[in-house]
Amino acid sequence: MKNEKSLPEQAEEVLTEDSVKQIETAIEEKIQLSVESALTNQDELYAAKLEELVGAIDKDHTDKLKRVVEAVDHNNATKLVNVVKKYEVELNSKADTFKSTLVESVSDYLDEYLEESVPTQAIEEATKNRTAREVLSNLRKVLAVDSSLMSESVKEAVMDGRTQIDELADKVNKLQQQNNVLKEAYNKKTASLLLENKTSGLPGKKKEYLVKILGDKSPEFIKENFNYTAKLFDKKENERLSVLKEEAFKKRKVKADAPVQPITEEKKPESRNPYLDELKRSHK
Amino acid sequence: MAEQKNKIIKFIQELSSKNYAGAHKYLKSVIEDKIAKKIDRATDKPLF
Repeated sequence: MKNEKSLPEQAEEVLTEDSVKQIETAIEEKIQLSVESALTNQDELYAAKLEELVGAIDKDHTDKLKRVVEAVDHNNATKLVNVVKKYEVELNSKADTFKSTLVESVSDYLDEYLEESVPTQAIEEATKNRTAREVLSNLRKVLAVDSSLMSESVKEAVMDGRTQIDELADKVNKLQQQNNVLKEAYNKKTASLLLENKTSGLPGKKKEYLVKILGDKSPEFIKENFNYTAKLFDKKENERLSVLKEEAFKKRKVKADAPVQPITEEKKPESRNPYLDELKRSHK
Repeated sequence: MAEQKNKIIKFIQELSSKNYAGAHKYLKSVIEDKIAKKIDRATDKPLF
């Protein structure tokens, strides 16, 4: 109705009401078509933009979720590694401790149970009884005492015999000791007598030497070694005299007016070696 | 002592795996060892 009012007066004169209505209808239809087209275009545009937006949001969410999943995985893996380490520590150290403690506890419990059921005192008594029986049995074997010889009278006789045997054994021991002492004294006396006889005609120094060497020896030893020892002394004495003689010759001073004696070579007796003599004697 | 511990460990293992015959064998052996040890100690003591 407003449009009708806005029409100019010249148009009202040219156009009839029907034509105006037709024009209005056509214009309205065209407007409707344009609006629909625009709306369709807008819808399509918005749909495309929405799809893009949803895709972007999805991608963003996917990335974020991936990161979250990775973080959760990493966290869980770290925790699992810690759990494994803790488990290994528990298994290796504390489990061993627990095992040894358990074994010791079982062992202690068994000890206590055995102590209650089989007391140590009873075991000691039983072992003492057994040992005593064994000792008694061995004593019977040693003393030759059986059940028939266990009467008091026989026991006394056996004890008496045993005492006599012990006393006699003691006597034998004492006599043996006395015999040994006497033998030793006799040997000493014989040796000193023999030595005295053999050295009676010898010079003092030689006698002293022989007594010193052979004084504490047995008569057999003196008989065997007297000559050898005497020869040894002679050899040593000769050596000592020759050394003294050489020293005296070296130290002497000849006077100017002293009579000159003709030097004559003396034939020295061969120095006899008592070892070689003894060897020769033994080979003969 | 170490042998006894090993036997106790085996006894517990057999008991855990419900092998009661084996567990009985090891327990019996441990108790016999303990009694033998007690008897040895008592025997070592002098009679008088």
